[in-house]
Order: sequence, then structure tokens, then C-alpha cells
Amino acid sequence: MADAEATDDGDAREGAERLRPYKAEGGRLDVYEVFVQWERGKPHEHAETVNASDADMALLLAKRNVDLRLEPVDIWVAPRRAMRRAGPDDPALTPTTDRDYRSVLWYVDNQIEVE
Amino acid sequence: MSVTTDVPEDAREAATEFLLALADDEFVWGHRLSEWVARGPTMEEDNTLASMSQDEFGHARLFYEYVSGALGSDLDDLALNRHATERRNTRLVEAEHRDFADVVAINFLYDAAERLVLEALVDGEATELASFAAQAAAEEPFHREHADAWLDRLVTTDEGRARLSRAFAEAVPRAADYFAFDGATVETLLDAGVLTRGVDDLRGEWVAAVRARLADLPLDLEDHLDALDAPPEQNGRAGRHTDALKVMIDELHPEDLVGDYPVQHYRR
Repeated sequence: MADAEATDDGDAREGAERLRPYKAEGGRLDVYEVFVQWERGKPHEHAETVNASDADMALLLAKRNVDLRLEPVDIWVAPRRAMRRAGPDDPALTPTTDRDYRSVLWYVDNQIEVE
Repeated sequence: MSVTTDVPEDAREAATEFLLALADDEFVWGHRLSEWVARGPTMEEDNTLASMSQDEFGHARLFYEYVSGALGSDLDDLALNRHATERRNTRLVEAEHRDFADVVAINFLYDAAERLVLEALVDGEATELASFAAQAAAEEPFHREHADAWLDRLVTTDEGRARLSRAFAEAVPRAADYFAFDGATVETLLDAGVLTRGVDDLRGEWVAAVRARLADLPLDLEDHLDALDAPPEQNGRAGRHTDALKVMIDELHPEDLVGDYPVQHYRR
């Protein structure tokens, strides 16, 4: 996380050490993915991306970069570098053999009689 | 929704005067925030400042509309067409910004003061006004959060500390007129129970809160903070403004404006 006490000029005075540097490690801002819940009981949806120095700043910015007129219920932010994705080319997402029997519906459709 | 039904007659003029000043604060500050669109450090921050700008315009609208009937005017006229000399905003909010640190420093000083005034109205006996003040106050915590978040981050580098120090050194003397409301006006509002705390009381709490927060940061501002409760060099509450305000108001009225706009009757 970007919460390290190091600053880009490396000489934060006493008292500033608990504070968050504006720039993340390497002098760059991090990319945060923003997830918004628009209705109670519904899942959070990916809504947008914000650039920020740290998670708290990302949440602050996200709160004013989603459309408040749509009355969001909840907002989550997560650093993209903490996330992993599979993607459409991942063979694990595209089975090649018939998997219908893995569904309970298959047993309904095939009327298996049990003695 | 009007000062004429909400405030007793003997305090109506005072309430109108006082609220016009608060509305001017919000309008002028909203305008300065809006100038950051496409100029902030990131697009996300631009959007955030623009959103805060809209909050302030919304609060200005509440107070302008509340007094517009008593003044025989309307929202557009009060907001757009009054000359700089007629404005009663604090000089803190009219200054032109040269650096991102300006918006952070001014927002911090302004929000800390405004919060106290709104709370003193929320507790007052003018019930409609109290509800408007509560609506405005409810949107201020985000502005405080924004100021706090940026203060904490900007002080982590030498450059950030230097820029913030410069911004505070300029902003603090301009903030000294925030509570410099006309004494008789405030007395009238206190007697009528519209305002529940006197401005000296509020100023004391503001100075203490500002000092406490800034003392917590690695900034060397001690020499500058005495100006917080010194008499203002110029008093915006008495209509004494810098040229920056006139430039800003004039800008709202371009001479080549075509069509029928509420601003067309303004003369430079």
C-alpha cells in the first residue's frame, strides 16, 4: 500500500511521519478501481477508475466522481495492483467438454428414476 | 420560504443583511472553486472541486432566495447583478488563486468559520432559516474532509510545505474579516434569537480550532496566525473589496453577450 512513511524528498519532519505522501511509491499515483452499490441489497458494480496517492484519497475522490444524483448507497475502492483478473483468453473460463450434467437441471430433464 | 414570514419584523432587515453576506460568501467561493475545472492536479480532483463548487452555489441559492422577496429582487439579480461594492463576502473567498495550495488553505479556513455560523443559525428561532442552514451544514463535512486530506498530504514534502505556508501567509490576513459583521446587525439577530451565538464567541472558537489543527502540521505559521483575530486590514463585510472581486463579477457579464440573459442589465 501507499501508506509508507517515505516521502519523495525523503526528509519529512517529525510529526509528518504518520501522514500520507501525495505521491505513491516511485513518485506516481496509483490506479484505484471504484465499485458502487446503487441500491440496498444489490451487488456493487464497477463504476470507474480514479488515480490517487493512497486508498483514503481514492475514496475521497470517488465520492465526488460518481454521480451523486443517482444516490449511491455505498462505494468501495481497491488498488488495481492488488487485483487479479482472468480475462477472456483464460482457458479456464471456456470449457471444451459438455458440463450440462453438473447442473441440477440436467437431472430434472433426464428423469433419473431411483428405486 | 422567506425572511418576511420567518423572522420578526424588527429583525428582518438585519437578517437580510446578514444572510446576503453569507450568500455572497458561498457564491464567490463557488465561483473560485469552479475556476479549477481543467486546472487541478488530476481530472478526479477537478471533478471534486467542481462538485464542491456546485454545493456552494446551491447554498448561495438557498440564502439568496430566502431574502429576495424582502429586497424586491430575485435569485439571478442578487447573485449575478450586484456590483463588487454591494457585495458583503469575506475577502478570504474573493482572492485569485495562484496555486493548488491556495484552494486547500482557503477551503480549510473558510469551512472552519462557516460551519460555526451555520450551527448558530440551525439552533435559532427562525425555523425555515434554521432548516436551510441545516441543509447547507449537512454538505460541509465533505469540504472539511477534503481540506484535511490535502493538508495531510501536501505537508509531506518540502515543496508542499513551502507552497502551503505561502498560501496560508496570504489567506490568513484576508480571513480576518470573516466575523467582522456589523455589530448592531448581530445584536439585533441575537435579541431576536435568529442567531444563537455572538460573533466574538464564534471567532474565538474558530481561531482556537484553526490554531489547533495547523499546530498539528509540520508548518511554521505561528507568526502569521496572530492575524486571525486582529482587526481586518480591509473589511469585506462592509463592502471593502479587492480588485479581484470586481474582475470576477465583470467576467460574468461579457459585453458581447447575445440573447436574453438575466445578466444583461448589469453595467460595468
